[in-house]
Amino acid sequence: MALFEAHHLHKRFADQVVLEDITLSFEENQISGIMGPNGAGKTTCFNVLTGRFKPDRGQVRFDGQDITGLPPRKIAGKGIARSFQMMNLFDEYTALENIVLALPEVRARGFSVLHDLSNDSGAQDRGAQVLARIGLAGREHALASDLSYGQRRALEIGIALAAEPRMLFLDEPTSGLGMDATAILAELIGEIRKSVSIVIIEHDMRFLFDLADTIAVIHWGQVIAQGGPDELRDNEWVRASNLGALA
Amino acid sequence: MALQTLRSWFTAPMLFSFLIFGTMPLWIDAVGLYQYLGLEVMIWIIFALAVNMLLGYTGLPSFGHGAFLGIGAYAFGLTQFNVAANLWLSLFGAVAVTAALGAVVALLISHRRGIYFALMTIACAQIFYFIASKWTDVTGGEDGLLNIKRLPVDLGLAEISIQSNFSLYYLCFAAYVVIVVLLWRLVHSPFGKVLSAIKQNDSRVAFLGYNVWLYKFLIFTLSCGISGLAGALFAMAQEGAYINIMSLQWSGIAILIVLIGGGFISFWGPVLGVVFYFLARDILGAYTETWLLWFGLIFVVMVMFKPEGLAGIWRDGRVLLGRKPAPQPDSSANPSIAGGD
Amino acid sequence: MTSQPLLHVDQVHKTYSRGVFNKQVTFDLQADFTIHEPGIVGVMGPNGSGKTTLFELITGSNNPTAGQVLVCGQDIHQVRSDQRDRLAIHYHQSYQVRHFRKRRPNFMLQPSHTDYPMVHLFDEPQFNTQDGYIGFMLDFFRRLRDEGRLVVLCVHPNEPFHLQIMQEICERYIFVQHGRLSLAPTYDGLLANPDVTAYLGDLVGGQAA
Repeated sequence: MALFEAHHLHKRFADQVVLEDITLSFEENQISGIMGPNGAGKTTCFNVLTGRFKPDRGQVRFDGQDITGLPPRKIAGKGIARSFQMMNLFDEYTALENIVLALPEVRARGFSVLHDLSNDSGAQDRGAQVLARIGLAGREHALASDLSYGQRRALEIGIALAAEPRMLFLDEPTSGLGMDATAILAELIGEIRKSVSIVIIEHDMRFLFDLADTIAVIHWGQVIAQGGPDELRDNEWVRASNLGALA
Repeated sequence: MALQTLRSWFTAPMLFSFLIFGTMPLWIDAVGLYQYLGLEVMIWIIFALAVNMLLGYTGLPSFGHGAFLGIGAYAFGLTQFNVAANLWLSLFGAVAVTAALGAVVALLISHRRGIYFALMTIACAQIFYFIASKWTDVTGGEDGLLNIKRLPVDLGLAEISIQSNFSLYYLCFAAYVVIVVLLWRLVHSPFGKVLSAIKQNDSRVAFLGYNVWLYKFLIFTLSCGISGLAGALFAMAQEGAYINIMSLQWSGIAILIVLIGGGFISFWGPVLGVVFYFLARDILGAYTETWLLWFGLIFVVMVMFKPEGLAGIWRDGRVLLGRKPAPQPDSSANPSIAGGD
Repeated sequence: MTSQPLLHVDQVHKTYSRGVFNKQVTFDLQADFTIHEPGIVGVMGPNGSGKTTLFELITGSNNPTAGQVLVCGQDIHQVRSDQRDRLAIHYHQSYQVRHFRKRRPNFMLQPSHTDYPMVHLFDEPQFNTQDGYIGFMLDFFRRLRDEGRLVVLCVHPNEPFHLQIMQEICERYIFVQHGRLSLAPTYDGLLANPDVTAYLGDLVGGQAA
């Protein structure tokens, strides 16, 4: 049994069918990729997997438990974190405050009213460690809105990472990044994979084929192909495309 | 470390406000104003701080909060008439009843946000207004609840009369000190940080595993409780509870005060806003009957050119004068992060 | 049920007309064919020839003027509209819309006999040689066929590789023009039709060269 499984997910918005029938599974300690052309239903699939939308049919299981339709906070509580394609930072907070709020120890004390978060050196230190890990050491007290685009992307992942999830979902992490920033990001993901299972939805195939252990191709709301990067490349049309040229 | 703890409870602007408001009755007559104005200012500051917990800190526009001020006033009067003429008991009654009714409203609206939240608060406020105006046996309807007493402050050993505006002011000031200290702690606690995060991005907060609904519910209930306290003090100041403070107009003025003061960027915004409003009322009001029109124009200009309000002007002024930037209270937490290392 | 043909388009007519008293027929589609076995069928034809209308008739989102469409022996227009997509699905270029014109409420109609659609109609999927998705899409069509389903692939060829795809993957062909269908069992048979060569024009020559 895989750590995360989705069975026959179906989702529609009024007349428009976005997910026809999606069955996927993601193994522990792997990087799993989801790719597909624009409008194929990738993002909706991601939102259903992470609890933002409830599927009309089908089931989502994590670690053997049925988590279909649970609200986001409960899914987060099970050890699933996600980043967002459209960045979702707390812009009025510093980079450090963004991270600290996501720490499990702070979440556990989320209803404390007398404890002073800014004087909690334990939480501050742990937040700083996460920032150092994502390459933002020295930017602790910069407002999130003052960070560069690449730094904001990194912080977006840092927030998800700070929650110490068992499974991390990354929604198009390279979107808007240049070549250099993408390379740095690939290095970062290569590093964090040691401690967390990762699912990446991605447009940039090169990025995905380099990192992922298995990839699912989604189109028309279905999984049209699935396998390891080498398996997927083993196709005449794929070899003839830009993707084939990468091999 | 003890100093550190003390510093996180009390800050310079806070002590400064205690100094100003603590001495106000001693000099207010000398500057050409009057004691009752000080009383009104103090009560409205408490109310505006409560409104700003929702609007400025959690991003929840409660456009019907005047209803809770009124409920507090009625509950204070009814407790002293029907239960016991004891100040503490009546204050407790006012806070408890208002918080309980606030909790009922919060149950209905905590899953809303933005304009839907605002509309729901208006609708609930109108319901309370309607009930207060029709349930004349209890509220006195349009006449109001008359002869509410300024009950003596019973300290066990001594009893202090608060019949004069001067002495009632100091009761309100004491309430102000307690509320300010507690709210200041609250907004810098994990709870307060989550509230502000909800304002900035509520869906992210949910994905971090926080129960956004429950946070909204709790802060709305707390805000209503504090509004109830302000209402009780107002009932004593006016020696009666009247329905007009429950009208949408007064709820609107409360929002206006918070915005003009700069509640979005500063803890002290509502305080500045209340002082500005009452000074404008008395000073502009001395020259023209249509002072509210001029006040409205000031508001419009403010929204166009300085949406951060008076607190924003204050902050810019300090930067212009070359002081170190942003000693405004919200970010004064940052140096203390460094201090904690 | 397996003895039933996968798709039987039985004397289907669809007529669009204009005017109330003096009716003028503006478009008329006639189709009558049967496909027994799973497979991949290529459909070609100029814009406005009736390809999309044909697909709509097969999926039950558009009602025929006469005739019936049987999918696995079941008349799709007699099936509950919320279950018609368990018989046949119409894939638009990239998104999917399920919209059915209802003449009768669902409770008066039959449930579908299958859970997963048996007929998949792909309406001009976007093929792009650069991104490599073609390979995955063609493998998907083959997988559907191998699982016993019928794939109908509609392409409006404007690049030589479109014909290459059709030739590679399709087992039989339907050419639609002016509302009339001509069936061809092989690619060569398709090209033997002068209407087809006229429609394809340079593309065929280009491919030969």
